[in-house]
Amino acid sequence: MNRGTLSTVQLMVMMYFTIVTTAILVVPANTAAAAGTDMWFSPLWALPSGLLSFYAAYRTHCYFPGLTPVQYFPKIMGKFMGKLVGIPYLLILFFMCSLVAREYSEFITGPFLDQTPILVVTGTVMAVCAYAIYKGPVVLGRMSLLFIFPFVGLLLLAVILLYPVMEPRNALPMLEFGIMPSIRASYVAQGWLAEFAFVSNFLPMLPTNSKPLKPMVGSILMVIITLIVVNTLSLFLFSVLNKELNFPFLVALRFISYANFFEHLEAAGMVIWVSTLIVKLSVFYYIVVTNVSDWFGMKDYRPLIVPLGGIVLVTSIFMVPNQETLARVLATAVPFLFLVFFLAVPTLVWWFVALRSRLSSKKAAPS
Amino acid sequence: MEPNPQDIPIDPKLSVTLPKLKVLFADSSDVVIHPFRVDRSLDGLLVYVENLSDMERLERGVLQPLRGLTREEVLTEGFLEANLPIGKVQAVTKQKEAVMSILSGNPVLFVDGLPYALTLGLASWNQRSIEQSSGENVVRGSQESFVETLATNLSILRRRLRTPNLKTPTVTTGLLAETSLAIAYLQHTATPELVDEVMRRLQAIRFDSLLESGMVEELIQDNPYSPFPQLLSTERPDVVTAHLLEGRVAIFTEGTPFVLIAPGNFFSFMQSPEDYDNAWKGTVSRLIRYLFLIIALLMPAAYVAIVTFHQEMIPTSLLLTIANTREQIPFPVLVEALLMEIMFEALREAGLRLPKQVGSAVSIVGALVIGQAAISAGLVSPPMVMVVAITGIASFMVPHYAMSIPLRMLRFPIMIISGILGLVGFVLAFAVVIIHMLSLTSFGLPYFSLQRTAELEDTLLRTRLNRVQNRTFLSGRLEKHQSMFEKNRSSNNAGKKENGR
Amino acid sequence: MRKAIRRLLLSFLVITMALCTGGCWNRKEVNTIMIVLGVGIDRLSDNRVEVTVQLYNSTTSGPGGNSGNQGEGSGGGKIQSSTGQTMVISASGTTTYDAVNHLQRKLSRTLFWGHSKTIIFGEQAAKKGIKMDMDFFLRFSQTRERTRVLVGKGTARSYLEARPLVEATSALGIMVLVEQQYGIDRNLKDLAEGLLGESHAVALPLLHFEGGVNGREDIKSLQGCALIHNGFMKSTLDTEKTRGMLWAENHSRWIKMPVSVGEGEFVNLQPLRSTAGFEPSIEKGVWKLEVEIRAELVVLQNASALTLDDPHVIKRVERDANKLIIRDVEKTMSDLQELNVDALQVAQMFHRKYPKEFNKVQKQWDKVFPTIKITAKAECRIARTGMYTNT
Repeated sequence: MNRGTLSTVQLMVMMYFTIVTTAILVVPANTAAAAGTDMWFSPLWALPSGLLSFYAAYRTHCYFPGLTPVQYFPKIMGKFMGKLVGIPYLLILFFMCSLVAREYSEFITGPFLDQTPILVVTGTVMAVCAYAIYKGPVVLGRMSLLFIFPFVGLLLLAVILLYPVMEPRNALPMLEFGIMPSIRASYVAQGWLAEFAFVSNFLPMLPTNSKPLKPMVGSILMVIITLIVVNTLSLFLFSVLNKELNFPFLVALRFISYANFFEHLEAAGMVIWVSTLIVKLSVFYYIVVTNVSDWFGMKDYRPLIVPLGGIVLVTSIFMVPNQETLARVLATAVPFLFLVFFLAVPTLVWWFVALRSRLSSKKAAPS
Repeated sequence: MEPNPQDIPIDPKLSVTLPKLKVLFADSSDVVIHPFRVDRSLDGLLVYVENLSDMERLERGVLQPLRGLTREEVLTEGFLEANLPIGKVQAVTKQKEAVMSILSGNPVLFVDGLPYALTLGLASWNQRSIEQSSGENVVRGSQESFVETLATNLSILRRRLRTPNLKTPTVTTGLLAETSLAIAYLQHTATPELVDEVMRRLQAIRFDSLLESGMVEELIQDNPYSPFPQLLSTERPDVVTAHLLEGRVAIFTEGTPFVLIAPGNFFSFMQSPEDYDNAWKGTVSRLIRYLFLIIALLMPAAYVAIVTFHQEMIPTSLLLTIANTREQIPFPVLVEALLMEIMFEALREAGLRLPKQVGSAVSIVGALVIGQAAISAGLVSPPMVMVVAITGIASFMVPHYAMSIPLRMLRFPIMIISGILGLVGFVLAFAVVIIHMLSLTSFGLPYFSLQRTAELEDTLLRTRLNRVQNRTFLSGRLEKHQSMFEKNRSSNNAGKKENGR
Repeated sequence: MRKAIRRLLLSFLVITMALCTGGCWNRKEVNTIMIVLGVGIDRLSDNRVEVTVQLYNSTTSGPGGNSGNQGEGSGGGKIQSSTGQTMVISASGTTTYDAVNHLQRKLSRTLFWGHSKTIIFGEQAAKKGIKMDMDFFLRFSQTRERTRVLVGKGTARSYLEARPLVEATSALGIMVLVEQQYGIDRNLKDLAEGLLGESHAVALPLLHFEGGVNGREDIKSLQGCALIHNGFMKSTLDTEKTRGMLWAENHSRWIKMPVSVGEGEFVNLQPLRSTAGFEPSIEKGVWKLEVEIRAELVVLQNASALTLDDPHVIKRVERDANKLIIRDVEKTMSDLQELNVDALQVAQMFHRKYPKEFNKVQKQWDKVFPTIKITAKAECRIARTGMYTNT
């Protein structure tokens, strides 16, 4: 089934949202705990991780144009092995999709709808995402382009309105314990940037003559810059408090007060954040659904939307018992899984494929 | 097998044709069947509909000259066409064609012994004169609007576009009674695929009779279940002209002044012809229009969500005022908002339908009901009245009426969900609307997309005229995305088969 | 297709019904909440926490609303009505939340804290520790980091009960006092930052009653500050001694500067703007801090025989003003060192410049702080002398 075409700009913004939406919630608090005053430049160390995971996915894609990972695994390792390897890959995708849904519900039920059942909170957003991916990934691309304006506007507004209360001296002392804490603190950001490997699911949808390299590197840089801005904002505002806060950026929005009139803008910020989260969750949901349908070799992924969505919904509710566990998992296990599955594995696959094609071309040449 | 009634040729013998016509037009008091004789021996028959043809010219241009002709002359093929002093004479060989010609006002001349009939282009009837547009007003710009007559409308268009590239092929459709449709496009400007697609969809229509262009719209749009209009309908010739110049196709329907323009695009619904008469200042009015479009759709929902869920967002002094005014109100904010919005919609609907003489009564009562009286009775709070009033005004700011309908309609579900989940529900509901709009296409053209920055210059903004002019707007942009339409058509046909029998 | 639409409509209907019947969980209508405008925390003699809130009373304004809310509460506190649109009620409990819980139980409407403008700690409460209270206000999602925090001389409750002079409610009035920069300005975030930061100390503005109009003691004013160390109030500084802190924080607008130029002769100056710079240094093991204040002043009153159109005279006044500022700053700093409360975050300054050295002494900061050599420098500029040169 033709899943439509995306433009490179759409893909760029879509991937930006895919990383940044939850990263701005998770990264500042975790970075602050490990890097202290160096948190503002710590996301920079995640740049190689993003570049490598994207580049590996991109190069592998070049060997198998038009195919998604689950489709080219069998071509690399043989039919049986390929399908077998696909299973943990699918499971991790399920896990990630549920994780995103859970992060959303924690964020919404924490500061906002604390009495609303988690089933309703997650169920409604899953329904909206299901509708979006029913309409096809093209809609996701267009949606990203539309939502980038309010999102960037929100960041700018926060920076402008909070400028008077920001304290740049909070960034001192720099490199108090050398460069290592900031590198260690970028662990979470690195894990998040490894998600750029997801691009392999969308590369087949680009027009055949497009050159995604530059826009995607631009997207990675945009993510890093956004994280630096958010981290800097949190640091300049809250200095030592950062590591105690669950959602520093949210509290930063709460802190806005302009002329005693524009106050407590966190709900407005939440509106914009939720709209971008719909993009992110839809991307993950779409990846789960299409990969499962590709694994089974189905022509149309649409019949899978509702059943798989139901599984994701249930998993998201039961995967972790509470907010503390979620925060712990997000800071420890999740980046590790990301780094393994979306950085290490794709890189190995790329090397393997490249090596094999070089060998076969050498073999072909003498004969 | 019975031959197709459309293909039955005209019998040369008048003695065969006359009874057939008499049967066909039995009990039709307005159809005149007038037998006469040429050269003492040759029988002729003139059939026309009273008041649909120019009687005087029929007398002078047909009956009088005929009397002076000889039998041989009349029976010579091509002689009558060349010699009758009428501008448009056409020979038809099929019965069906002759009947249709009669019904559309062109008298038909049958002569005994001729295997064809002559349709005389004398259609002329009383029609509404060209007046000012009632639905789409401008302060500056052309004031004329289309009328109910297809030919007149095409002539108005032709007057504005004096180029042989303006093509206006016609399509006739209708199972019980036929309606003429015409499409208009500029050759070399509109893509042939688009023109073919429009033609294909028009020809695919199987419907009893098309009374208004709205019915045509419904039958040919990509997604008939969408609340959003997918074809622009306008009664302004200048709007049609402008869109044809952009490479779109106009669809004219007999009997209505409203012309459809395909493909429709969200942004073209937000344009007023006046934007182009005010240089770049048009940008300002456009931006205000978009702002109020959003207000019309979302303001009551946002009010409900914020006042019932996120009171911290309201500035303290304002919240205290709202708390004071709401103290005695018996309804929850959501119910209050729904009540008021429904009241407002009722007033608007009543105002549209009611006879002019009682108009002032309704507006007075309405203003009292949803305004002062409701407040002093303690049923609604003053801020709510403000919100409803602003929303009402905002929904009237949309230049094309068809676009304000989905706004008013979708307001209610968004309001209800906002009343349940607060701003979370608000943004989710709004996202559904956005997703829907982004997935819409009109004749394969994405309904709501700004894929190229150049398009910004004539959508949200309106920059300098020389930059706005963009003839290749549509070329290469049409997606093959017609599945909805295809499905719709097949189910439509299936339904028709049962009815048609 | 038609089937699909029917299914869609049906599911929408079912979902809406389910949502509606399930209840609108977090919905709170405006007329089911009580808007908290200000909070006061007191410690009673039996060490219980008493929480007092000032509420906006929307029932009084409407027709049929009554203002008589007097009566004895059950949770160990009193309900008392206040004038105008607000009412003040309080309740006590073993912890802050316990008291809030008791308070809530007395009301038919839910307390809404999103608009609380001020948190006032009574003197006793501040002395017995505010860390636990702070925890409640930070953890609770409705209260805001921007909420102003003050310490009130006497009980916090009396300030909320006091009749406002100008503003609609006393909580609002107190917030405006702070915003006017009559004293130092601290919000919940500053408090938390101070107590969790390097120095574990913070200064909070101190509220006083002043002999009021017509014999009513209703005028509240900010005078001085309360010094909190490790969560406990150690001491207070009066207005004069707080001035150095105002200079250090650039809140100089209302500092009075009567420059004495002779016996009983003054030139009154008003600071337009000022900036403070801090220069920590460690020389041969001696920790030093240099505070430099730059200020721009205008002459508001010349109650002396000096003629101010003479540049030399202006220079002289500027010099005297410098001395005044230096005296203010040094006085405050020495007081802080004497009390050993690092409310100006000197620790942070050293940490930022000398991280290694600071980390060695971080644990014994209380021993280091009093030994730091603090000097002040000032550089004033008289920008204008007013509309008339000589009168």
